[in-house]
Amino acid sequence: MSTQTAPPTAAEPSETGWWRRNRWALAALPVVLALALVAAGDRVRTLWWEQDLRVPTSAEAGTTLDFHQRVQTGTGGTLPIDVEVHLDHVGDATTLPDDLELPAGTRAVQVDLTLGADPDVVLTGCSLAVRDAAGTRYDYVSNAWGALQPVVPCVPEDTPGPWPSLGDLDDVLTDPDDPPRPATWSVSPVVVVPEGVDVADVVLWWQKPQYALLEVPSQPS
Amino acid sequence: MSTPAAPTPRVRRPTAQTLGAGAAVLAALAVGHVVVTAFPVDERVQASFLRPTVVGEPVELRYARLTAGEPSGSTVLDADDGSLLSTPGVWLTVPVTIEAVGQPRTFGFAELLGGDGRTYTVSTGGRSGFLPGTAQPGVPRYATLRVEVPPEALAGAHLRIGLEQKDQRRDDVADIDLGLTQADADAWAADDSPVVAGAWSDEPPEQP
Repeated sequence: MSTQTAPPTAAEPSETGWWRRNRWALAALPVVLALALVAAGDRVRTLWWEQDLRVPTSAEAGTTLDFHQRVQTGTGGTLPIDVEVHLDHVGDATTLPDDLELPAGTRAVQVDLTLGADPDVVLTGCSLAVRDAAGTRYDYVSNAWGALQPVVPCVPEDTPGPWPSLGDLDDVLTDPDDPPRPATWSVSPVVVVPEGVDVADVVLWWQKPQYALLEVPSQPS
Repeated sequence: MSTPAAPTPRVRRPTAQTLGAGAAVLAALAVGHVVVTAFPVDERVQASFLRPTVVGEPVELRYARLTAGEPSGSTVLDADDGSLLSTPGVWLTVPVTIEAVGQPRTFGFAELLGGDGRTYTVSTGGRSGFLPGTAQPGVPRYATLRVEVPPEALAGAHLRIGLEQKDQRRDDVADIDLGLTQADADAWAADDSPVVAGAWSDEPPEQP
């Protein structure tokens, strides 16, 4: 004969108890899952997001665009880009750069820009391209097809303004007698595009993914 | 009959439920391990998307359209810069046409999978090389790849060309069957008339 055991009251709390006992862990679970996804996605930014032009700053055709960005320098700091850009004209280049030999099936497009910035803003790291309506991008290339155009397409060739700091080398590399960059200036880089491509916009960037987007006014046909 | 003993530290025995849960966790880990090792999940997730093609057939990649021309070979290479390079093996040259898609593209990766089972790197320095520069969309870029290999690597060799030199994972890579035979290898290993591999150009090469 077995002895009498305690009445089975101990089973009662376990029916609702598991959810109750684990309520903090359950509450934390969605947060932990979200954090795990974010942590696993860190390279989406460096390997994908920052590898292309994705964040436009645009202006209506014919107006002046204010473009601001803080770009990372190679030495761990940041530099401000503060510049005004106006697209004056895009069309077939009237005079080709010296020695330019157009490959078969291409034409030369000249992009006339007027820019403005404080003379001490570093603007030397810029790239320029034109795009067609489908978004295909045709880059400005300074040294190609036999021609040598200015390395930096968006600053005056003779007075490019300051370069990113290289620390102690700055004193050696910069000449205090160099004339400063003017407050406003115009440039006319030439971009080679395939024949039949109509330029829909001009893009200008210093560091991806941000870029300045200048729409080309629709041409009267 | 017993009197209540002095209170002894109470040892908590694991219940059957706890033991069962532990066993279930271990079983889940074991099953997961078997699944991961039996099926090469990591390799498949990271594998390049190989786009097979043959000589003369264009292949559509995510970033460009690529066409490999007729390969040629010799024991002497004319680099078109005034220098001749000779080899105890064979210089293999392959003309490649690149038509970039979407934006300018710079091809940085090429390797030869030899018929002897070895991989011959092309784009990591040394005498072999493939430097097509940056191709603009709509402007075909003509470049010649050159690779120095032993003759036994030629028959059945495949050429792989891609965008990033250091990382081809999860991206398109062209896999070109060069259609080479042992007869080609023997002929080229005995030939000392130079094959030319000059710099890239946007003008079509002159047909011989």
